[in-house]
Amino acid sequence: MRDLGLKHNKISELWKAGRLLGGKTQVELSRALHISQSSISKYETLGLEPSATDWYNFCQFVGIDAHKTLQLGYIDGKKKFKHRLFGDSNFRLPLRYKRDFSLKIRELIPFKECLVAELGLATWLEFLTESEVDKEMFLVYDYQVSLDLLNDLISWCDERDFSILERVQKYSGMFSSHGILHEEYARKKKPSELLMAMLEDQVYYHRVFRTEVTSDEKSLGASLQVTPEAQDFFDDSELSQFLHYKIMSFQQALRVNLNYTQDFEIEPGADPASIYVKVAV
Amino acid sequence: MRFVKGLDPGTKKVEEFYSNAYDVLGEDFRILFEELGIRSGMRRPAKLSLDESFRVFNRLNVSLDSIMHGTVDYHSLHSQFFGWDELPKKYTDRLAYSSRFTSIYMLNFISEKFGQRAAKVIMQHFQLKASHLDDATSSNNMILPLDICDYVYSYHGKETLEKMGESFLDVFALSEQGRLLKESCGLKLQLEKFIEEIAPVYVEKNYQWKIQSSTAGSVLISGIPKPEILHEFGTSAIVTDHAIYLRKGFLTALPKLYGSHRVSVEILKSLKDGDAADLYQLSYTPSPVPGRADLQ
Repeated sequence: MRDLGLKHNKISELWKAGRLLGGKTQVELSRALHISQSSISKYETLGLEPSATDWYNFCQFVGIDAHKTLQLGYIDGKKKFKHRLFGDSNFRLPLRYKRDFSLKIRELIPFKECLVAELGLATWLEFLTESEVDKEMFLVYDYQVSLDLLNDLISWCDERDFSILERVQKYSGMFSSHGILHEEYARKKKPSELLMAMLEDQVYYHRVFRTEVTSDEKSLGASLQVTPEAQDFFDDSELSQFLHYKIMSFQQALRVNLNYTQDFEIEPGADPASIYVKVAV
Repeated sequence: MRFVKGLDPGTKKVEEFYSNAYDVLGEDFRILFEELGIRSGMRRPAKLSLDESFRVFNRLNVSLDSIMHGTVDYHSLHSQFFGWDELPKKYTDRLAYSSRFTSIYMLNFISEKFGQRAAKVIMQHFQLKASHLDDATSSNNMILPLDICDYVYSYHGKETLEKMGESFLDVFALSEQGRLLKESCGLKLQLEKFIEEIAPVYVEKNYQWKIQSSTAGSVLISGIPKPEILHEFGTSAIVTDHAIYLRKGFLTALPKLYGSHRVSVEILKSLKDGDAADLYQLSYTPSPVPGRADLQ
């Protein structure tokens, strides 16, 4: 029986993700931790599993929680490496995806799960290779990248006749695709509670729009206002695509988890950069 | 079993842990290795794989951090292994004035916000078991909530502590004291009554709140741990960087007990910075918003 429930390759990926997040090369790590570079290389390529001591010293050095990281299977708890979440790391990421920091990796997890489940892991890795992005980056849920990465993924899938925007709803509606937040959502028993929690948590996902709840006695509404920063970087069609995806993902989460069958009312907001969503009582 | 001389400090700590655990558990520890399917046994436990090590740590309800910090309570480890679930002595042996409710609330908040697994990691880090959280009326000393605060601050930051403090008011508002307070008149008087009379008895018994000045829309509040707490545990253990953010969040939510308000709280002075007391400036203005409807 494996209490940890982590396969060896997951430990390898976490080690490499932690090293890259910490902005370290294998050589630098080797000098700091007094572990041979060949051992570190084997830790990252499945040849060798680190001892508890090596793991602890490594986590201390790069600023991640030794115990929780293994229990969760991804890297969470951003305080100690907050400054590294904006491209200041050794993750391979083209400049194009660093021009703004609109999305957290958490936002992309449902897309990754969709692609892996429906087209296979090899397809996902093919996209990452073509995009010159490290796969380990997807273990750091608070890492921040440009909305362009998502837009490119959507286009890349479209070119292969795979409409990921249609297929992804299933995955974004599942709480398991939301990392550490999924248990919070799973406890919500009323649609209004779940919708509120998701709206409030948008700061953990992206900086594309802000939400303001505008309820009355008969409905719960939310005004989604695109941020000026996002307007600087993206055109209306890109922002509109993202806004509608998010609204559909909220709708799907309510449908799948709480059997809420009514469609949201979606109205244009007071200006082109906003949208109003109304959910009937 | 004794740890080997000449090892690096971390490996020594791990060997020491296994050695101490064997001392308190005896042959049962050896049997545990067999039950967990660790074939190499206990010959060189520090050389166990990460996965094997964590199987042992999880079964003994300790964390790798507590092993490395040398903070494992072996008496608790022994009692918990055999199903008696004793809380570590450092949380109960002196001035156990704190209600367990506070720690339960904090862990519930983490569980709500970051999931049960995240809360369980914290519990394991401090050798807490679910049974320790069954009785909210039981007591412990101030070190337990401070330890939880420090952990949350380290990995989730001060914003999370402030939110945790704000959210505490929601729970308090449902209590008998919260209900009675809402029925009394005048926000300014209510705040004064709360800070000087209710909080020291029902919210934080180890900490003395005092209103330095109060005008409509603004209250200057000082706070300092009770002298006997500082004397018993020492300033360095009690005065941490972190609990001040929990208290700030709590004060931020306070005027909202009496309706919707725009509130700001500024930390003007801090014991941690060498000041004589923590000092908070609470400012508030009414801000009516419609209530929220529940969906079907």
